[in-house]
Amino acid sequence: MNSTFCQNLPYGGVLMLNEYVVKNNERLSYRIIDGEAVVVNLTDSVFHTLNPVATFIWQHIDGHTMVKDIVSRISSDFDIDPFTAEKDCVEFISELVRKNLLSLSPTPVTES
Amino acid sequence: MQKAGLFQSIHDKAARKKIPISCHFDLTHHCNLKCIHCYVVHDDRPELSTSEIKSILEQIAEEGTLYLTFSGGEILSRKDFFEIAAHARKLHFVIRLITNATLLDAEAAARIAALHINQVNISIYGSTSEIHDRITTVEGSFLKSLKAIELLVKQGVSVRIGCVLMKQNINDYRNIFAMAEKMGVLFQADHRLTPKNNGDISPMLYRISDDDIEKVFSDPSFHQPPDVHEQIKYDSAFSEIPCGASHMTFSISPYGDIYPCVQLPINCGNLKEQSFHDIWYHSQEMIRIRSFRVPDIPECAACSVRKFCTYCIGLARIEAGDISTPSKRFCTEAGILSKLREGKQQ
Repeated sequence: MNSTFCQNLPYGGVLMLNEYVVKNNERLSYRIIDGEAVVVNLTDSVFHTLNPVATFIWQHIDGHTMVKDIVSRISSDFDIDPFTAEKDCVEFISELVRKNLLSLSPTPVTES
Repeated sequence: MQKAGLFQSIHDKAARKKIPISCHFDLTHHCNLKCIHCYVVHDDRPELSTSEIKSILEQIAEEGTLYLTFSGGEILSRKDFFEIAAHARKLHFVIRLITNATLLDAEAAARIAALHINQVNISIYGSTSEIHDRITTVEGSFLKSLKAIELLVKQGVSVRIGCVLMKQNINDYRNIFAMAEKMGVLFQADHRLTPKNNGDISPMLYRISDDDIEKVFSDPSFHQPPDVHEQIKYDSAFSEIPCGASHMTFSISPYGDIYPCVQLPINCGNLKEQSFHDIWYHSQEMIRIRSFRVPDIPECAACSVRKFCTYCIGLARIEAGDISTPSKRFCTEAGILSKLREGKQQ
């Protein structure tokens, strides 16, 4: 995780985040159960359950899709205005980065 | 530490909606030890191939399985074990291993750590070679298992020592607990010996007495408080169903048979012939087990200590002949827990 980037990521830095792709941390497990993502951080065995919108975001985190494209899908699929969609998506992704569940990359991640 | 509420609510939802969230997968029945209490019975059929196992893992992931326990036999006796485990991690399972660890070297420990295996359960039956090796019947197995624990701890892997209590080690289990603490690993003792899967009751010769059960139940290092147990029983789907078998848990044999539970080897279908989805949702045997309710048993419905009972339909079937006939052992244990609870409240 690029800590410098995150430290420089107040809400006003959203344009930078939109150009990034997001990838799941390797130290986690997850499953979509009854429409909700259940995410287990294997580092501390803490469970997280995500609501339907958060689950939608989670399902599009693949190391290739840019944040701005995820935001665009949220706006259209959930009929949410783009500003709110962007704000909520950025806040959610930032929180999961802080919890070490996600990491950010300026370029698509290549699977090894 | 995870709050019991969220964890329990996930399991409760899975049980109510019949989501097969937890799988016990016996990868092999081959083992390099010959433990005197082992319930596994070998079969002459060929075990699942690597590709068959990978396909099964993909199917169960698709149906919602999150927790995956690899067991056996001895899992590390399979040459393709790490290929299987790596595939399981790509499918984002929470993976636990149950192993005697005697085949685990430094390289294997490093690979387990690299795969982010959630926990490794290692069977230890005594605090000395004398006690442990007498139970496994293989000289040197104790020291090999201890060495493996050290290797895993060094790699930062979470290890839990699992100890089945029996006459041969009942006076030693606190020493094993102390040894686990010293090594920085978790400890779990299991007080229930079971017959072999073919009904052979010879392991029961080693079963501990009722007095010993009371001793371990009243030992705070062994048992969780009855209060938590009561909460789980009465605030969830588990107030009527006896356990998760066929509701949210299942097991897979090395030959592809699906059971409601590893302790309840009723063949609900074979994955070489049917899909997991079809077996889980449409097998007549699975549906029959799923329809069983503890209140349907008259003596259980009227029982004053039912909330303390850990009814096991697998044990009921093996010991009493039918899933709906409780083993008297359940009643004894529930009575002991109830008595201990009354003692705490006074």
